[in-house]
Amino acid sequence: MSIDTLFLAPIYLPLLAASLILAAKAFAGETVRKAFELLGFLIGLVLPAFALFALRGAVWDHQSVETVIGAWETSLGIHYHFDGLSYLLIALHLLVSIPVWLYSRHAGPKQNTFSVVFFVQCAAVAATSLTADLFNLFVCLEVMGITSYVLVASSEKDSSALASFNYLIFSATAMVFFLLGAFGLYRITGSLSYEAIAEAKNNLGGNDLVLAQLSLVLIVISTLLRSAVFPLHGWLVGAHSKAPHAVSALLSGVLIKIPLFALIRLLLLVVGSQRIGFTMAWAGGISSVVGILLALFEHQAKRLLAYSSISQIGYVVCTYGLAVKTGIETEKGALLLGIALLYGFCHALSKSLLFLTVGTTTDVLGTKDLNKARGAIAALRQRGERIPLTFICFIIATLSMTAMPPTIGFMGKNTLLYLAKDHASVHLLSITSALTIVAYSKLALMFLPSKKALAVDESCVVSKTMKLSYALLALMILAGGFFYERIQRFLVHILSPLSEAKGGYIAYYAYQDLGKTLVTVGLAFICIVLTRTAWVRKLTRPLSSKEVGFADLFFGYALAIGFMAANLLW
Amino acid sequence: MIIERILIFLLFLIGFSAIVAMRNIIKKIFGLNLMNAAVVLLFILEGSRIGSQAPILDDGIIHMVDPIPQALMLTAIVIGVCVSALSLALAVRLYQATGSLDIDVITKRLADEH
Amino acid sequence: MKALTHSKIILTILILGLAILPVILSDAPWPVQARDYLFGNAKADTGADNTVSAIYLGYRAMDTLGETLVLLVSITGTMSILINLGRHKMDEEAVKFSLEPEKLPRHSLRTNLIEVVASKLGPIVLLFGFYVMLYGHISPGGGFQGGVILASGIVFLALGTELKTKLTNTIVLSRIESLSFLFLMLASISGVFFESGFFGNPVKTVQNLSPNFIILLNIIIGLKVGTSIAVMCIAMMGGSHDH
Repeated sequence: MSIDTLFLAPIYLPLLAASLILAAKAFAGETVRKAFELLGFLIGLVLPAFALFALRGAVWDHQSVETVIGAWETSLGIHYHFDGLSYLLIALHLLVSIPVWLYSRHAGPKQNTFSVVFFVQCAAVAATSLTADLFNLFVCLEVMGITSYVLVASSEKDSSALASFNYLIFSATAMVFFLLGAFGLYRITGSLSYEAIAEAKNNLGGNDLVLAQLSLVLIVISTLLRSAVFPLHGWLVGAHSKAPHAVSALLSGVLIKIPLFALIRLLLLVVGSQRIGFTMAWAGGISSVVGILLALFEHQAKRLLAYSSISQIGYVVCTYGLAVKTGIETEKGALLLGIALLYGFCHALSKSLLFLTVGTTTDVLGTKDLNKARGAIAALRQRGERIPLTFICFIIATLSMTAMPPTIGFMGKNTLLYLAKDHASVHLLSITSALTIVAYSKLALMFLPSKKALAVDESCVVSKTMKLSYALLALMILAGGFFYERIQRFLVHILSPLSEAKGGYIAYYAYQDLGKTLVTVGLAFICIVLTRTAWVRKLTRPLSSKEVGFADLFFGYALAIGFMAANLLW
Repeated sequence: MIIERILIFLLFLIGFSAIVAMRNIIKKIFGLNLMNAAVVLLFILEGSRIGSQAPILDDGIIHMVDPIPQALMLTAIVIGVCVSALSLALAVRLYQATGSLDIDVITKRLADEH
Repeated sequence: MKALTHSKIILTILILGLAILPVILSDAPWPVQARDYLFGNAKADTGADNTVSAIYLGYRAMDTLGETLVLLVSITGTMSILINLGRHKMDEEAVKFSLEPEKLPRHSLRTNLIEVVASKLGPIVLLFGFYVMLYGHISPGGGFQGGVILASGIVFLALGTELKTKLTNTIVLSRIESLSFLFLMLASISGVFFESGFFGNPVKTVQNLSPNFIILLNIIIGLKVGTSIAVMCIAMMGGSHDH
């Protein structure tokens, strides 16, 4: 089985799984359905994992596949491009979705259509990572989007329908703008594949260039909307906090990063993306600070996690923007891109584990309000845990998120801050690191012992598969921390064909900055004490729990387009 | 001619204003459909400028229009319809949950429940 | 507060209008490469006379697969939302909005005129739908168009007759839908084993057989689209809740 046959497996295997599950649903009874769901899991998630494992040698040797789907020898076909970047994105998706699927067996959405939609989303994520064609990117983003809307609305609470509706209208409108951008680019270049577009665009001048730049702006901003960068972040809090826990984990962990990195293939080829990178770097920095400030004053557990997602994706976008600005063909740019993707991995693992553990805990306690929730360890023991596995995994995930040793988050964040240190926007990221510790200490309050009698929700059970899913993610976080050097070297090596300078190397060992970590913790402690005082609370009361209206969502979108267009055209 | 494109532009803007400014969620969904219609019309109209006959290879067809926008718009129309269907189902659910179709009323009533 | 919201809305529309005006009003010449290439080669490459069919079921079949997935997910999602509506706990102040058949007044949907016309027209519309589906590679039409006409034919039958026919039974329809999706996946994966890659035409090299792949895809897509939309329409009319 060579790379040419295997590289499309992450697309058609989940689709085959989805079709088998759909057929089983239509034809057979309950037991056969359950058997087919397990079969679907094996075909749709485990087999692609084996395929990726088999491809690791080929990817290390920098083999890549650039092909037209259906083997047409013409530029009219849809070009797909498999290389180290796609490999890593698909690996990221599989690493998170396997534990999430295991968790959803007992705790997840109870509808029997969950599996079908889930596997279609798996295929769409793989297709987005592989595509090198503009209209195919549109279709893949729409498939990812519609599966997200359905999954978010699959919770039993009605507020999830509102969150899904807001996300749907915002995202669907942006995709219409994306179509306009595709119109502009096709008109100028006569083709829809990235290479042909880039080649034509780099030789333009005058009015045609203005049209091409505007179209590119429309496309980039509409794609970035799905990554919830400031000022496009309004939809994320509702969608990720109201969705079922497994879905939140998947959305926050994977789906906000894939469109961002899929865009790299286009930006790589298009001249003049330096300025786009500059805007994105600052947008990422502001996003991280805004996100964490809003998280600090949030007293609902899942909303805090959602705001923190906005803040952490700001790290990724900032570094990604710096990579584009420095130029990915240079060695420094490729290293920055690599560390952005690696930090994406760190965040994905930690945030999904956090959503799963916090979700179970709030289910068992019956409340999401951090001012009221206490005594979780005892409550969880009542519902089926002899050793407090949820608590341990929560602590591991929090340590990773706040960048404490020995987790992968510690290594990743410190390496990121080291690599990006020449640029002004990195100061915003450092401030955010301190504030992140403050926000997560608030979250940990749930586990303090409670003096009152526990009001435990009798319908939740912590089952074996749920514990297995926590354990898998926690193990990955810890293993990532211990084997960080090898992982980083693997990642940088397989991404290096993107740059013309082969073989970059990050000469940095995060443990040499333990002192900096201690200083950050100290600052955070001071901030915690400050936020507990009355006058700060009074100052910040109006900031908490604002609902976002459509005017704000679209105003953010207009600002983003206006800013980037002005930046590109002047 | 330029008048057609200006009309398409106005149609697009009307649809967009409906999404942003109207408070009734059904009107927002109308607006989304209007925007989709405007973009589909734009693609087909502009693609038809380079020819005068339908893109079907029969005898006597020598000057056909560009078939690529038509094929792309087939996909875009279906995707637009599917998204509308899902949004209407969500609107029905929101109405049943809160008794109102006004987005501000819905947001307020659903924010109280937790 | 109101003035702030209004000004945000006006600014949004202004900025975005300005941004897309050059894109819509541009006068750059429309490219002719694609049209010229297809004029010469579409029939030889795919066997279809209808160049639009050649594009979306031949050169760009992956987009069609994505479109089918969007349809599948949206119908699945819509059905699960609507079916769960009936089982929701009802809020006393909220207006009741139910799809349960007992609550839906029969007479408002089914008059004598509808019964006569719809039940007689149903089979004719179905026939037309099959024609559009099967001839999609020669004349305007294809899987999606034919599928939608099929769906409306089935809806006519469901509206027009009180008899429970197999064709308006949602269980039978969802079985056809899931089987056609399975066959679509098998057809697209078959290319992998026949050396044309994923979604390639497995009989591309055999000259006389080559349009058959497009015809097969048209049939599968038409059945899938038709049955899934019909299931949704019948469920909205208060048909059955056996999902």
